[in-house]
Amino acid sequence: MKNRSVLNFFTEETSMRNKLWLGFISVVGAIIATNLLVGVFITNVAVNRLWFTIIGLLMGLLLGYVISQYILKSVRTLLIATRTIGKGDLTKEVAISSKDEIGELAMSFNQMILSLREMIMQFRKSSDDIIEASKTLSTFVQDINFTAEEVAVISTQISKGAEKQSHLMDNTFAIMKRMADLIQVVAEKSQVAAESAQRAGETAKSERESLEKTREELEKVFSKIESSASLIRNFGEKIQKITKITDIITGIAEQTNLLSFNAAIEATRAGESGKGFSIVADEVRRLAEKAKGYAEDITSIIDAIKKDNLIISSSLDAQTEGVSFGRTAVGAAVSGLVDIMGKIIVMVDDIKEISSITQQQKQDAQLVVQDMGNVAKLAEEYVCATDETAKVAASQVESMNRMVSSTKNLSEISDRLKNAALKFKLEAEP
Amino acid sequence: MKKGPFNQNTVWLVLFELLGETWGIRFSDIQEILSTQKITPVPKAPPFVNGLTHKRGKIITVIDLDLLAGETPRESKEIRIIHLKNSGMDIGLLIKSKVSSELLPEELETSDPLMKEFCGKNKIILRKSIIRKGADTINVLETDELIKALEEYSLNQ
Repeated sequence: MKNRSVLNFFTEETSMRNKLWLGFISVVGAIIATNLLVGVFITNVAVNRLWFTIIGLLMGLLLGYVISQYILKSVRTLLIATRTIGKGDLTKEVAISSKDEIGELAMSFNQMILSLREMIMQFRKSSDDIIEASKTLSTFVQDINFTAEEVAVISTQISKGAEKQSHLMDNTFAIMKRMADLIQVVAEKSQVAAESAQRAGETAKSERESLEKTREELEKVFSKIESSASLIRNFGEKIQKITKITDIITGIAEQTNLLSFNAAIEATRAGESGKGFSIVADEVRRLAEKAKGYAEDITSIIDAIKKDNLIISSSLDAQTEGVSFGRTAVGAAVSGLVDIMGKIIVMVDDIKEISSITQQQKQDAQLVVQDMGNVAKLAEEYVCATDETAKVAASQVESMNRMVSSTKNLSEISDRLKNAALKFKLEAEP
Repeated sequence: MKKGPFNQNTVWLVLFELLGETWGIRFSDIQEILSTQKITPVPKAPPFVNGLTHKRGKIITVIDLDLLAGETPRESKEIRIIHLKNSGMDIGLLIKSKVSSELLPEELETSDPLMKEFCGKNKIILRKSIIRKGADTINVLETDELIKALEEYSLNQ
């Protein structure tokens, strides 16, 4: 504008203020020029001045009218454009190319139309997007609602399960407590057992030597029993010899008896001379009978002794077998006992270790009982939480139902918005 | 009737058991008393003949007195063979009981004989006398009569 000359006042680029200033100056100039011209041609000053003023005013009004018409033309164009836009037609632009404020206003108006067009297009597109999104959202919400209903059902089931779990945890807690009590009893018993085992181990060490001595003594006893058995067997053999001798004596007695009979018969046959011999034969026969009787008595006694000896021998045989078995059994028993003693000594350490472990178990069991108590409490809290969760899930279902209706509302609103946006005409219709 | 060696009124007897009674044989009728001997059976001999045995070169026919008297068959450890004194055949009586001797008064009474039939028609008659000793009775076997009966039986066979 600095380079702008006076001639530029009538160009399109002149601002409205300049145009107003130009009109005012023109009027004043016209008045001054008229006065000058009138002064030349007319001498009456007063009349001149009056005419000059009137002519100047008329020229000023004419210029003002021309200028105002020029300005109003652009304003009318803008008014028409505004009315068109008001009807929703954004297809037309304002055709004003002046460089003044009206031109800038028209440019701004056109810019506004462009902006509105873009905005409406964007609005339409956004409405479509919102409709699509609301549909998708509705689908999602329905899915979520379905899921929420399932979650509500599952939450209810979880709540019931949690309640059962809580009962089970209570039972488990009670069982664990009883187990802990039992473990404590076991720990106490194992402590006592460990002490007893300690004493048993000490006794085992000392008794092992005693067992070895006992085995040696028993071996001596077995040897004595076997030698006694041998002696009794020898006695049996001697009795057999005595029996044979007794049989011989009996036989001799019988023979003597027979001989005495025959001698007596012969003496009788000899008559009077055989009388003395007959008496001797009779005495011999009596002695033979006595000898036979004594031999028979001895035989009876020996038979009794033989029977007893047989019983004793049988008993001894059994005893010998028993001794043999006993020796083996005692040997095995002593070996087993010695082995047991050794194992007891080893077992003492094991029992001590078991006692130590059970003590640790007792402490662990107490900790487990405490933890189980905490878990039972947690389970109760979990029951409450699951109840709350079920309630929340139920309320969530309700919320989701409301959200479904909201998405429906949103879709309807989007439709209405889209319809509203469609009322704007953005392109020239063919 | 025979007389005893020391007193005319006494007699020595060998006593044994038979048929539940005490029997006796006079010393004077006995050649010898034998102990258990091996007896060899004789084929087709009469049932009461046990068999044959021998003593000092003599063959003795052993007669089972139990069978001859009709005694029930019995077992005994006390077996003796009484070899009878006879001029003819040598007879040994098999005694299955304990044998003893006793001097008894010779007061003999007659008694009913025992009769035993063999093979249906042949009879053996055991004649005996009786000596009473208190309440007991002792049957004295008449060995001569027995030998005679056996000889007759043998002839009949």
